[in-house]
Amino acid sequence: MAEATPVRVFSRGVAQLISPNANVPAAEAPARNNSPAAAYARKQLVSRTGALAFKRGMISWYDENGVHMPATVLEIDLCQVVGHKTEEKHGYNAVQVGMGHRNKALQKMNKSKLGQFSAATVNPKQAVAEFRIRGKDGLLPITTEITASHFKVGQYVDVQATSKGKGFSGVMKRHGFSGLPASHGVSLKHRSGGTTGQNTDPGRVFPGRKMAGNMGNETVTLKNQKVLSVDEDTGIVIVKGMVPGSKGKIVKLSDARNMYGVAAHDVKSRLGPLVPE
Amino acid sequence: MLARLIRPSLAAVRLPAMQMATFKTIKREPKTVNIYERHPRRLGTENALTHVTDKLMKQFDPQGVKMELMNPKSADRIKPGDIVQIKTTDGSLFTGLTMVVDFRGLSSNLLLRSKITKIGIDRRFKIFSPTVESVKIIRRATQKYTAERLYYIRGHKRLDVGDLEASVKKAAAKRKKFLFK
Amino acid sequence: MLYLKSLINCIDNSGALLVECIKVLRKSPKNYAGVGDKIVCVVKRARPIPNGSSITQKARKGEIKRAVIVRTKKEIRRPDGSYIQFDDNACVLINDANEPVGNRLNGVVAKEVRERGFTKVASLAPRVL
Repeated sequence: MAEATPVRVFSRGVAQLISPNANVPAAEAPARNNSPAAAYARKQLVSRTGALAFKRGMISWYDENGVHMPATVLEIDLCQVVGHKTEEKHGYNAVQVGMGHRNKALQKMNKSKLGQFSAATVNPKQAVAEFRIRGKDGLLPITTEITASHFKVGQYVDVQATSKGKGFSGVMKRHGFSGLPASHGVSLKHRSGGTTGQNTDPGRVFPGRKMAGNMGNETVTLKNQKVLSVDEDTGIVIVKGMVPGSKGKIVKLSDARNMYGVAAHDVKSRLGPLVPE
Repeated sequence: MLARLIRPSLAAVRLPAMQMATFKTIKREPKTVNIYERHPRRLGTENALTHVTDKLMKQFDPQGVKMELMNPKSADRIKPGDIVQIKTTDGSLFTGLTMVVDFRGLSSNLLLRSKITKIGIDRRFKIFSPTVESVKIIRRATQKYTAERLYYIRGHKRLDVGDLEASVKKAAAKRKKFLFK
Repeated sequence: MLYLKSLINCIDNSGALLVECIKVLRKSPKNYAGVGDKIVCVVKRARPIPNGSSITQKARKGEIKRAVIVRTKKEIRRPDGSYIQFDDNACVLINDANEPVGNRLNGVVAKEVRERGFTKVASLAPRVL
């Protein structure tokens, strides 16, 4: 690039005149907000890992004022860090967490998987999941056990699990359609969805039309569930409300990401009462 | 055929030993996969749900009175038709005839029916709730009912309850009078 | 669960005996009135006035009044997980200041009436449950 000619500025009093031939350095371009870096900065990520747990069932919970509420019992059974993903190598930071154990199915687990657990010096796990985090401070050393006391009573968590499968369901069950009338000449079509489109024009069904199909058995995330009780000795965490899926299924627990846009445990100053010490 | 004929035999072009390539297959040690033993489960063989339920029941009912009354295997349990008095933490008393007993662990509940100022009232109490201070059986069922759930006594000419609170008070006064005579 | 056309017992001494709901106040059109909700109602049946008597009744047949629901057949859930339900639907006529029109009530009243701000109605009741 040619060397920029110096800017000639003539000034008299307040007025200024810049020579027309001068190579004025361009103003710094505003930061693009559609770059991967900007997207990463926008992403709602918590700074520490979550945990995996088993869903054990539901109970009635009474708080200190005697208020009754439904609650779900979750059990964290031998949840350990089994690996890391780093920004340099993989493009993002995440903690790989495994939970449970595999006894009967140990023979079925292939050697490459067993080798990963062997390298991490942990027992073969029933389930492994990744928790994306912001920064590297939250990359706990491998084999670190994540106990129930990782969560605090009163904090809010996001709960992710696979919902119960309902099989191939009709539109009334799957999308809440009203169906067709019971009488007035309707025959054998009472639970039908009715028409799916128009006429020769457009002559096709628009994409996204709600129809019958498989219902349930999909990943469901419930946000901002309150933690009611934590017991490190038994690994039991009790969460207010329901959790998707059936008993015995694996549940992903992590700090609430959408609590005012930041992780609940990160905003102690702003949301003091939400995160007790 | 021709090609085969002109191919030189291996023996004819054998090179001196120095120039022969010496291929050495590297014998790799097979990767050892260690299978680590798991640490024992913190709860042992105990069911997590029953563990939590038992713990909370003991917390809400240290003497085990409510547990005995709401135990389906116990002979002293509350049965449909029994007249039960419930005291809540706000100090109010409610006396009623047991229509339904639901054994559901921590959310076990009773449906009681009574009449106050000639208006029938049904109340359902969650027995293990900390707001229920005490549960007392005032009188056992005086007759045999044909069902476990006595919804049918509502508005029944013969079976429906009267003002139980008043009748219990009356009976207590009568007994007192009898004792002091 | 009371809405348009519901017939409700009136339990005060205003003279009205049976009223019909014609509007649930401050609720969405799809919603219904429960204990502690205000309604507009028509007096369908009132206590008869003897001929030549000087008693002036506060409510007569055909009048349009406001009322507050005090008992429902539909069970009410309390925060502690308990439920209460009554054998009838009942209301008390009130004026614009949420005070009862009559000066005596006959029958129990749910405690939600007091919690919803109708303290004068609750204080007149022989029993609040």
